Amino acid sequence: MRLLLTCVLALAPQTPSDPLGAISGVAVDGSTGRVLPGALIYLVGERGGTRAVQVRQVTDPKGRFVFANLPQADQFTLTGSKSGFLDGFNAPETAAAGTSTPIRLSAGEWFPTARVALYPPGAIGGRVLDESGAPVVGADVRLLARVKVQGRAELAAGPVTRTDDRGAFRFAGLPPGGYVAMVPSVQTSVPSSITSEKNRSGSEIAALELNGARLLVDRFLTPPPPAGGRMLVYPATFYPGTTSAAEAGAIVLGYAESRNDVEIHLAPVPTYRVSGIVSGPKEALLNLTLRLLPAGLENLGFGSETATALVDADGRFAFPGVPEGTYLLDGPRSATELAMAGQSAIDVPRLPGPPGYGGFSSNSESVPALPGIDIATRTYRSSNAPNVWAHTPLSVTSDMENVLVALRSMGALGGSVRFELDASQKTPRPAFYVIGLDPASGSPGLGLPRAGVNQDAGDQFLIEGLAPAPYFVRYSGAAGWLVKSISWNGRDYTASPFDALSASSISGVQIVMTNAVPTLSGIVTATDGGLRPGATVLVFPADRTRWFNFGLKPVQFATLVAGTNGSYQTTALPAGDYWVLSIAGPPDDWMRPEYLEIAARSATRVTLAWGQSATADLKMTEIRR
Amino acid sequence: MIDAIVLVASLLSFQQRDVAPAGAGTATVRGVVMSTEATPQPVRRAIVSVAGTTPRSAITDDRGRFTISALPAGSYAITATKAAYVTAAYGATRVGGAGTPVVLATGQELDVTLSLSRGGVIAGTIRDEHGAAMAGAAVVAVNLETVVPGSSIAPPVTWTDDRGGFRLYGLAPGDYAVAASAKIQGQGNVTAPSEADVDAMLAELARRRDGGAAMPGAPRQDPPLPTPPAGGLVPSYFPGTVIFAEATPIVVSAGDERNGVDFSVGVVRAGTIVGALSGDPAAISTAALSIAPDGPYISTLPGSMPVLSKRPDAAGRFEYTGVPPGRYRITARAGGRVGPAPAGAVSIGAGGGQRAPAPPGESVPFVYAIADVDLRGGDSANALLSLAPGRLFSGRVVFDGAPAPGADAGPTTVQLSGSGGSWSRSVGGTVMGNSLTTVAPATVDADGGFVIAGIPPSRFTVRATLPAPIASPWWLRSVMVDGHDLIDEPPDFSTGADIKDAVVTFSARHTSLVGRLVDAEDRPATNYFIVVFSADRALWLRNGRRLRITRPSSVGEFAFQDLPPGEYFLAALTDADGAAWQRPEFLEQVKAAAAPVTIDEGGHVRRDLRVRK
Repeated sequence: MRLLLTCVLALAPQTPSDPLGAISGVAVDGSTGRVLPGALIYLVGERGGTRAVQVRQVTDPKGRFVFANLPQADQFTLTGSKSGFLDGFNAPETAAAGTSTPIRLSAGEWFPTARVALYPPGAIGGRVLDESGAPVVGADVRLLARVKVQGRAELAAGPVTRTDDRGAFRFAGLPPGGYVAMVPSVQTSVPSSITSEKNRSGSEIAALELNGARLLVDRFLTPPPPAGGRMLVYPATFYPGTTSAAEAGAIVLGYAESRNDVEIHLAPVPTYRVSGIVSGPKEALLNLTLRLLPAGLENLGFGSETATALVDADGRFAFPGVPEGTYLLDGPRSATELAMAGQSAIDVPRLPGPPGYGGFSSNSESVPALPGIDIATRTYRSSNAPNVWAHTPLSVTSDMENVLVALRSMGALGGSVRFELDASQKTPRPAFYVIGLDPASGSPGLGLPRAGVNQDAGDQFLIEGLAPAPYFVRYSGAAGWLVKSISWNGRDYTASPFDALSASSISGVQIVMTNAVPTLSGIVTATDGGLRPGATVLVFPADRTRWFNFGLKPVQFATLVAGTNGSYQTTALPAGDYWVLSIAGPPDDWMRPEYLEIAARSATRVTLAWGQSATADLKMTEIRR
Repeated sequence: MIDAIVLVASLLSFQQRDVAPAGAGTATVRGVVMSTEATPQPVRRAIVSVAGTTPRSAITDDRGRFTISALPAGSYAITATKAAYVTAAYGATRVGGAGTPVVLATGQELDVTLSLSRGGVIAGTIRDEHGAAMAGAAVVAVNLETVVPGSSIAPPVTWTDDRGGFRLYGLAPGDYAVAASAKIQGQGNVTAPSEADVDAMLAELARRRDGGAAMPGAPRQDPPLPTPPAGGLVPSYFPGTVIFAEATPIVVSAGDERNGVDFSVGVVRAGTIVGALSGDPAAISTAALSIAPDGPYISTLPGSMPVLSKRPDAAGRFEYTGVPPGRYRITARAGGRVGPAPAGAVSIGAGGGQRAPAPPGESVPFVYAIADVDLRGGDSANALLSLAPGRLFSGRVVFDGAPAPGADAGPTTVQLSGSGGSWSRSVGGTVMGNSLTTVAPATVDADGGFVIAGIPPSRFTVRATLPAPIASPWWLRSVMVDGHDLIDEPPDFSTGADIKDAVVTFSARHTSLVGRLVDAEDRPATNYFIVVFSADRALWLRNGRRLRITRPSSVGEFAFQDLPPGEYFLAALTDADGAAWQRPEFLEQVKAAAAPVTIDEGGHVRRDLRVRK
């Protein structure tokens, strides 16, 4: 499924007579003001919501850059990168909004004073030691970022590194924030009927034969040899040496700060053997992977399991080494987690994959409500696998045999989409787009299920594989279109979620799209009356009942940035009543009822109507919490 | 606002057991894993594996001991691995060397000692062109013994930390080139203007703003500013060169730590290759171009590709821009099969661009041109390519020693393979790689004839493959042309001649050379290598079929199957380092102490060897 259709045009004018714009400026170290030679400056020009221009330039020895011959665009944004510095969007002035100050050029204009500030990152280094104090070589170490979702504390998967031959590890290039460090340890087993496991480079993976299962031993930490047929394993361990995420030592970094003393101590624990059988459609058992997730870490997806096991063709499975504890036994179609942006790129180290072959894929999606955080989804089954899952709590205090795991059906939601074309707007209706679901609770483990929709296929959609929970229905696709209404069974669901999708199917949902989108714009000035380029503009719904349980992709919230000419503008908000205000720098987690309550007192109320423009000129305010 | 990266990775492949577990054996391998320090120490938490019909593993305890029991009788290779150590094979005579298989009888209990050596370490610092430590640079070590220039390789990557430091560890002994690439963000062309370029552009922008010639209110019609030179991102090799051949090899022995491997990488000023393609105008207009760096292409390092900014015009002029400094091979190819190919034919990987209309299924002969370009000295270089018809290779397949298989078994194919494998990477309209010189296999017709047309001017090895169901009794005996065997003397089509009337012979008459190596007291001698090599020095083709090596098993037995008939020398060596034993000078020395052996057509020869003190 192609989710991003980026239109990249060459650096040429739209028509021969269009005057060409230019943007020039300098890259600086934001912490010292020193100019940065050799920085890579990245310019994106947007036109009609798509990237019309993207070019990169290396700054000269004086830190300067010049982008000339720029065609007309709605706005340009600049960011930069340089080794030893955080990528541009991580600057304090842009971190909350996730974008730099937009540059708006009139025809043929030259904007000569652009400034790209890059900030030095933090670093976390340390060692991994085993129970005898010996350094552990080649151990995966993972950072988790502490983030807030709807005011709730969550952990987002961060970078992975591996200890060197001295047991040492170091994470560099970290944005400021709170972190937790852990050594993952996933006991990965396959049925005994599978004799040969090859890794990606084609070499054999070593396995221990243990009571009817083969435990792959060269993927995570090498355990001590089994004693009396019973496995000893290293459990997943958080700094400084606990198996509980809640007891993990917090590491807080500012710009350019480093911690070099993060020692993680591992100790083996005795285990029990858990085996049983999965019941369900035969096709669903093919390459089914079971995941054993420790209670409390269910939302921390891939790589945080205590164990994974591949079931055999008859549904039999065995986890040869499970420490005492309470678990969730998950037989997933897919698993979703929060992840620091950039962790899904191919040029970063990653954790070993689950057992099973074919069908395992991953993708990630950024959501405006969480700058710097992606929603990463790992799909464990091929798309034609039956729409079933297992989701069973399991308490392990002894060896367990004949554990029965029933695969249950998952919910589905389908319907059709109608496009109301306002001919006065230039936006053509999209031929391909995505209708997705957004869990109202914002719980990342529920994922962002979605389906691609084709005009050729009659604009019908069907989203399958839904865990029971309330979901909003969302559109993503070509810019210039917004959801006007959603209805089902004579009820309006435009602003309320579909509830209780448990093993049931909802069909006949009707979505109406419009391109008569409202426009909200205005000028931001300071109390002294001067323009305020780069000021943040917050927009949120006037209806207080929409201030919680709004999902991960709320449509009525927006963080905007005033451009170089002091103006802001958006066409991405649906009709409705809103509060709008401008502040110097918002907190990361401003979409909370307590904050919104205070912010509303200083805000301007605007009403947006379909096809209409509204203006709200703003004076900057300061919010005291 | 959706950003998506979709990765589809087949992480593991499994082999389902054909039969129920063959378990229920009674033999046992036990032993200890020791380090190779001056005072050897037990190695704990090493993984010991036995490979045979039933692969099995164990983990060593704190005394370095392990036991693998219930093994069926048979022959097993035993290995020990541990992170930061070089995988050790039982019986190896040097670190990382080939081991000897052990032969276990029913109920046998074998006690073995394996020696694990720490791998070498290469450590250093990567800096940018301004001398600042570069964090997040990707670094790899390329083993010079195994790399084939022109091929695509994927060595594992390590990344520099915030101080620019990297540490590659657990390296097997050998010679390595170390390569690194800068981290680069975003998409789109990169330009890298100099200080003077920036001054000039700013001055011109100021001139246009202040002294604009345009009428007030009317948009100006200024011409576009000159585009600053493009930059390219390309891996650099220690000590700071982009040319693979100029990399300084780093010699690593077991346990060695080679520090101070410091060099700089960054966005380099890229140049332009201006090319001219000559030949038949119809071919020029349809030619596909590809470009490949000399040295290996390291697919695990980030890098930018040259851009084919101008496809060949009517006069054959083309241009590559954004070409990082280095040496390149440019290949042009035109023609080829049009429309649906006949059943059994295999299509070629890279597309050939727009082609002249021709009836479906009709073959238009390939024409080729190849040129090597050196873009190191300046910002531009020229490439002259003259298209010439591809060569022809034809002949017939015969079967010897048994009735020829029926035609219904499936297609027999004859294939020409280049040395670097076939790879390509395509971005936009630019193709990098060597896939244009890939030759499709020919399917042998009902009369045994085959024709491969459109062969590029290059060297190849010849292979022939029978369909799997009937392959078992046959081996590829020879590909004869004018009394020469092309398997021993690979064909070179760059000389311009076609090769016709080749006779490809599959034989059911197998040969074998077996023996037993014993010491002076008639005990099996296992600590040796057995080599066999042709008596004719002209046939000493590196990794060819007339140069073979093996290790005797734990009972001293060795065997070579299907040596082509001829005169050979057989010898036992105390050590055979990598591929170095194949060097002619070395073989000349061995000859003096070797036993002559004659292999006849279908001959089975037994020749036992005794180690003399």
